[in-house]
Amino acid sequence: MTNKSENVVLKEFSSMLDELTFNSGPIIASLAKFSEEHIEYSQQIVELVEKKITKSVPKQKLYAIYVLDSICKNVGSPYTIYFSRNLAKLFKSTYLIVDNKTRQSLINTFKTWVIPPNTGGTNDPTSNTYPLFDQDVLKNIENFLIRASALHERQIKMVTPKPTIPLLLKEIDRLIMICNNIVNITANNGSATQVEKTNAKIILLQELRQELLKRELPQEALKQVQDQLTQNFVKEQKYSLQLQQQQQQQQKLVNISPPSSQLQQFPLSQANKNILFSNSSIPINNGANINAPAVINNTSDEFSNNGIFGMSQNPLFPSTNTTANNNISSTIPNASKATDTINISRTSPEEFIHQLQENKINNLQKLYNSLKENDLLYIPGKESIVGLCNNYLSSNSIDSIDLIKNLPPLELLNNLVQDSISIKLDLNAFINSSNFQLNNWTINNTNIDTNISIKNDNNYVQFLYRYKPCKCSMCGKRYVTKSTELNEHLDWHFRINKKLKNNRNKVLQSRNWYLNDDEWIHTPNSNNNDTDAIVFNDNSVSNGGMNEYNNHANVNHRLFDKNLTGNLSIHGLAQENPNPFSFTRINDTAAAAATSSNSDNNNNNNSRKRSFDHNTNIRDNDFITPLHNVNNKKHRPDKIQDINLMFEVIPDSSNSMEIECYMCKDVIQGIYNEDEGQWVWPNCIKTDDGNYCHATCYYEIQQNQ
Amino acid sequence: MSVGNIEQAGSISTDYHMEDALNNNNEHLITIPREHELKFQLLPDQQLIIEIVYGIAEIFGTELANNIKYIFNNQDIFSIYAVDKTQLKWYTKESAVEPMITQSPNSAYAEYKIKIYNLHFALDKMRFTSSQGPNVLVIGGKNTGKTTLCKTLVSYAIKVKNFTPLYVNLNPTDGIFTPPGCLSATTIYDILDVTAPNWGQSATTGVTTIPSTQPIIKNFGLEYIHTNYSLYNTILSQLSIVTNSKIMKDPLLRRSGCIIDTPSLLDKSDMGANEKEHVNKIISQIIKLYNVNVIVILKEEKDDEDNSNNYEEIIKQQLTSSLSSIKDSISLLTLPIVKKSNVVEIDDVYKRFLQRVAIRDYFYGNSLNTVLSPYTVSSSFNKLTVWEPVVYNNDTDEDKNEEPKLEPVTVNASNLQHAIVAITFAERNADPDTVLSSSIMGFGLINEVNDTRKKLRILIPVPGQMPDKALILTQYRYLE
Ligand SMILES: [Zn+2]
Ligand SMILES: [Zn+2]
Repeated sequence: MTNKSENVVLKEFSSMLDELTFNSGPIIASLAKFSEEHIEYSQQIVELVEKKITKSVPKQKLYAIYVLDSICKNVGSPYTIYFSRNLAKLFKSTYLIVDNKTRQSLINTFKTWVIPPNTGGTNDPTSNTYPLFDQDVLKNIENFLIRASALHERQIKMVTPKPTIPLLLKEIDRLIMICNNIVNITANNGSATQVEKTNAKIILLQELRQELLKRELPQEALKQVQDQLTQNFVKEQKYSLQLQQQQQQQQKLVNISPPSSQLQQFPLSQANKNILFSNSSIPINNGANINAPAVINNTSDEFSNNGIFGMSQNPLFPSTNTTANNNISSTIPNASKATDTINISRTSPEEFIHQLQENKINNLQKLYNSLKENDLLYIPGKESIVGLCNNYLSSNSIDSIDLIKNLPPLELLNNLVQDSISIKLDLNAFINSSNFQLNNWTINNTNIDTNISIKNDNNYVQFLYRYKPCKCSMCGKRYVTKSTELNEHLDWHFRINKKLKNNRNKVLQSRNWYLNDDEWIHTPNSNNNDTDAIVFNDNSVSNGGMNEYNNHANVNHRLFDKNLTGNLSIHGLAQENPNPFSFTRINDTAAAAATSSNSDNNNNNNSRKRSFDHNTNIRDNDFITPLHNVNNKKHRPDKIQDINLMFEVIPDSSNSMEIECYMCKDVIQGIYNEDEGQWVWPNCIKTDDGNYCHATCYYEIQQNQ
Repeated sequence: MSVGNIEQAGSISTDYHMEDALNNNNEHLITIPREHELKFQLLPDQQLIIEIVYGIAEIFGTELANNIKYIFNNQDIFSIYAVDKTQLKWYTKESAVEPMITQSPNSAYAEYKIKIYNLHFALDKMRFTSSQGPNVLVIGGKNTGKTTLCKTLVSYAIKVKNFTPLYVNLNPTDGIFTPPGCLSATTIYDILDVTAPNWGQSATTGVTTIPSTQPIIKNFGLEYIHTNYSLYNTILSQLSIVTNSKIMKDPLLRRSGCIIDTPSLLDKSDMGANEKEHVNKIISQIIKLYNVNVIVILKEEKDDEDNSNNYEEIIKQQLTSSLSSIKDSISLLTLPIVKKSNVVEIDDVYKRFLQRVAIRDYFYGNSLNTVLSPYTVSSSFNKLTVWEPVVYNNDTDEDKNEEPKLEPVTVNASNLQHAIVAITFAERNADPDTVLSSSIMGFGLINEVNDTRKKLRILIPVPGQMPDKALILTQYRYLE
């Protein structure tokens, strides 16, 4: 193809790649073009692009992915095959280190690999090669993305508090604490590099801390600091979580032991002291004062597990002990002493345990109070869950407005309540209730009370709406269960919307003639089997055989619902083809039927209709479950509108206005074409052997061949 | 050439009109308290877009989807009822003029609404417990909300179980699913189009966002029933023959019953004894022919003053005389209405508007998501046979025993210009009785009549040739 040597070609390609430092359509396009021209080096080119993706700075990775995307979409195989090999790995690793905006772009790009970008465009040359890559690879990426986005959401939730300086300071202090702990532990294990690293982090944190204290920072900067903290201290965060869990377990184990001994169990206390004193750069006082609140704050989430006193048993508590704060230190021995006053010999085991527990509570209470006195305790704000809970429990005070403020919207709650009430009401209860009897209102010769009584039973009103709890998000129609019926219904919406979108400006639509008496009478509006399946148990109701009826009715109820599903699918079909009971009135409307754009609707040529619908179904499925239909690349004729505009001028030699389509044997009726000023057979084509047939029939056959 | 980042595939909002409207929105937020109703009255050429933010809201019995944009077109009048506290967003294209929005006083309306609920539950109970469902006759004076009640009742009927009530429209001035001027019956088996004043689309060659319906149609063609009572009587009995055959064939339809909408028969100011006799006959005819077993009379509270204009009196009287044999099977209910709050006040201007909408819709679709392409055919005068119903101008003209007649119409511009003609299923050369009893295949709009060339052009809904059928001229005209 080219006489340039491999080296030259690849050099050229990689220098083009190097130019791609911004999202440049032309460069990407020329790269794609280049790779098409040098398809013989596809393997090497793929390697270059892959390298580019891995080696680029995060910001530019996306552009390299666009190159990959563009090459695959425009050139296709063998690039798609080669890229498939490392695609999942590349995509995932890229996704993990780029920012959220880029992630969104990656997701968008990924979507186009699964579903063609212009769903409506039949002239899109690429639409027949979807999905773009091997389906396992795509599935792999999809799973990854699903998990990643779930994780992402959770992270966002965790970081929601608006960064303020005090908050960040607390966070930093907490991290310093944790780092110290890590240093302690790893120092014992002898991993020197780990200690070094963590120490470096500690220093970093302290500097950051100083910075924060020094000057006011704009909100964005704070946000950045916050992000940095969460990103760079992942390991430390995990560790703190671990600690908390250990803490909880220990707490369970030492349930009876006095608090002082429990405190001894912290491996950190001793070591911690060493670190704190040896590292002179740590502003001890400062750190200590904020340490405790920060961590207590942290564990207050576990409030429900630990109870209010549990808060004092957090991993940081020992560290306050080691901070040489005299006030605190002095309280601890007091607390410890208290345990000694229990006289073991004079009490029964039960009493002993009881006393022990009481002492423990007392000790904790004292501890709590002294911490509070010294401002070392974090008191949850009024707005926090703990605060709300306390408020709520302590009084019925009017502070409850605050409480309400933090609950889900009233509408949502109300909706839930109504739904749950309605679930209790069932159809049988309604049928069997003595309310709503019309015969109460039946006419009586002399005395007529024909006013409809006012019986405001809101439960029944709610029942009318909520009997079917699943509301279609598109049209508001309700369904009993979420799984089957509603899904089918939503599929139907999807198909219809797609058709509407595709048909816009392409296919002429017109009103059908009405049905005549016979047709109307015999047209089923719904699946008639329904009625048989709804075993309306008339007799048992009137007999008053309530129990029996109820038993039966439950079964019937289910039967009925099942049948609803069946009916729905038929219903759905009917929608696609709004005139499913195609009575063809050959005599009066054959011409109309033939010209009518969607001739498959009006024509009773079932095989033709089916094959048409078949095609559409495959396409539809492609979009719904894109990953399972790699090989179905069927295509609709591109030019439906053209086919519909086709006609044949009726030759002078013809002595009849009618002609038979030699394929479907339907009559084609001549009409006057005003644009041509001639009588024509619409939707008609003359074949090479001189036969006339419907243009639609002709192209249908062509397609199938 | 595809360069990376491309629009997300498969988004829902693809409607051009909708995007238009969203560009210059001026959004308003309203919260409707539970069991309150909000009435919207649009100005001419005004488009209103409504989106439910939360809550359960319905329009005449059909529940709205949440977070979906509903587009209402000019001059429409409709109400949104909040089953639960509902918040909605609305905006118009024209920021200067706002639609008229009124909130109904709660107590009176709520009471009326409870009665409708109770009525519905009673009807549903009949459907559940008997193989013969309720055949409900809704009757009452002008602007008493008959059609609205019917719409609500059919909408409720499909809610809990998939009943398929038959909606019978005996009011020729209302085009429901059809152009005006005819009597029709339509099986309702899916939700109605809340944005369509004529309830929805009849079948088309394509797809519609709300499933289309399949009405059966008999042509009356006259604007006023009192201009030919016996014709009306004949048409309504012919319709009943078809509906009864279908009901007999379809057990579910029988169980679901029918909801019968009627014209206000007593509205004519100077009614003679003869005319009253006709009205009595029509009412008892409807009750008998459609096997009515529930009669709902909508009446204004003050109606009682004048007994002669009272549907309740007429029905009670009929039940004790001509209908005495079946009176035990009939439940009679009255539903007092609260004027100005729960009834859509329809003046003649609005009625004309609705009729125009129904005609335009028949040929051209609703211009939002169902755009139809009708077809103009030319025809020479001698290829058309056109009939027209006889019009009696006063009470005494009409001999009670005389059969209603169709008269042949001379095909010329003065008779046919801009006229809506009903295309019957009867052959072109069929005798007038056959033409009269035939159902309607469709409607045509006569556009250009050239008396000198003896040619005219007709707009027909379906592309193709003008069917070789007998035509009936209606009194409705439509200028494009
Ligand atoms: Zn839906
Ligand atoms: Zn054919």
